[in-house]
Amino acid sequence: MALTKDNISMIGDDLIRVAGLPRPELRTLARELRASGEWLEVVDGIEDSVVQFDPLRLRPDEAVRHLLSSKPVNEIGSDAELTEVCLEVKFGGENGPDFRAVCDELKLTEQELISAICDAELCVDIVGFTPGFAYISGLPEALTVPRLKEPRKRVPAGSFGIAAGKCGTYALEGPGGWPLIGRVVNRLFNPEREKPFLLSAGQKVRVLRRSDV
Amino acid sequence: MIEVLNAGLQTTIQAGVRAGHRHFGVPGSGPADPLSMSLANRLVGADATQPAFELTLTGASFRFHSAVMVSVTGAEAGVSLNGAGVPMHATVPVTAGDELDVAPARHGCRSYLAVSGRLNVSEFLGSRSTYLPGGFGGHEGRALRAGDRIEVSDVRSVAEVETPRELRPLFNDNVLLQACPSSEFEFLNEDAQTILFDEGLKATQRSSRMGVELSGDRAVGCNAPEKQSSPVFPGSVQCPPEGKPFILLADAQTTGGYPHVLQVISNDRFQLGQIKPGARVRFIQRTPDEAADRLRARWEAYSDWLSSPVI
Repeated sequence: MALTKDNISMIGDDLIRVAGLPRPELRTLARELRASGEWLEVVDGIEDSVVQFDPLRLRPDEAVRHLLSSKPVNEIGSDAELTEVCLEVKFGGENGPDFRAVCDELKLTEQELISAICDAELCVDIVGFTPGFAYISGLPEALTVPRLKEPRKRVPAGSFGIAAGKCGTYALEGPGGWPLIGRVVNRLFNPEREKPFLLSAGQKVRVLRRSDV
Repeated sequence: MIEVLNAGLQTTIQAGVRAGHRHFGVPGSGPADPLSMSLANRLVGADATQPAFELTLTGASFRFHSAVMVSVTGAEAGVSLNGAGVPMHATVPVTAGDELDVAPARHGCRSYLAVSGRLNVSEFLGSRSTYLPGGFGGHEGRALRAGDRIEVSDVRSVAEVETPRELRPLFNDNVLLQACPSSEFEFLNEDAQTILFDEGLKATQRSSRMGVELSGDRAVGCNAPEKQSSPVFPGSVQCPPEGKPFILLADAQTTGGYPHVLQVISNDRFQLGQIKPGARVRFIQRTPDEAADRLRARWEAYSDWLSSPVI
């Protein structure tokens, strides 16, 4: 499916919004545009993407023409980055200080909560809010718990939270308001990697339980 | 080495934009007023993105432990060296033991202190700019405090020059911002447009490197339907339900769910860092094409003085 004029609108003199595409195609397009190296930023929203260009290099109409001439979106699934990422999570204890409380809130045993999360087909909606924070959807609706009343000032990097029917992963240490039920063993952020953050929008995710022993 | 004697309201190290990581939620950061910082760096013979000090509203003071050339630009403020006034927009030689003081801003909000050497600060994802909420870049990822010492290396000797008068941006506390309609502009009611474009609004105390809140005589009404989180950038003007719009600055978050009603044009974004609490802000509507014309006209004016344009 090719991008048409109906999908795009100018915002100011250096931003183009792309919308009206099915989400998987939007994500693939965004990744292709990033990989092309021709745009300053390509940022995913939940239902749109915004492309930033150098306004001194391209005038608005030139940038629009250039974007429209980008190659058509590949078939979904052909993109290696869409392959599933397995997140190994240590649940409970000091890794997940709110694990017990969340089980109580949901009236589930620890094993039932872990199984519900590990059985779910999850997908990263968007990365944002704070650097590297991934909103991950796909949990059964029953697993809805509220955010903490008092956000924590310091949440360790790798923390795995659950709130408002979604999972959230903290790639970097920082403040956070999600109940924490575990810690991801994989390195969510590694500045030495070419792609420093492990998760990006559109990525499929499966959670594996990693026991301490 | 430079010692911070008084860091004022907020002094951070800023450098180039942390580019290409917004899709991971990492803001660009960099100077809130990139034009003023590049002019400061020009006076000490440095590229626009060499790390420099960004001072906020109340100024700051420093002691130099070795000889270096310095310059101060940005918000209009008194600058003194060992108690004697020195000009802004000029290269000023300092020697070991000298104390430089930047007084509170008379107009504008942020001043820049550049030095003719390299500040030894940390890099994160390709930029040395401080991002305070994330705690990375600059000096230990935080605002400077009295007693902090920043090493300076590779000190260059540079000619003493002044920014040509006609290239010095003048800041006052009546800020006019050219902006283009954005995604949810059409949901602003007529009265909201009157407030934004005719009456103007006042910048409130809720002001930081992330954004500036504006308050009009009446709420700015926007009847946009509930929207999903969508990308936002420095210069984006969002309008939350309580009717106090806010303009996003250099440390803007990468996505937001409030209606995005205007986008300040790239030519005018340097001014955002100079809006101080209490300033009047009014918008002027432009088309993307008009915005592109203005940006080109300005950089033509600066092209003889600055080696590369800064947006």
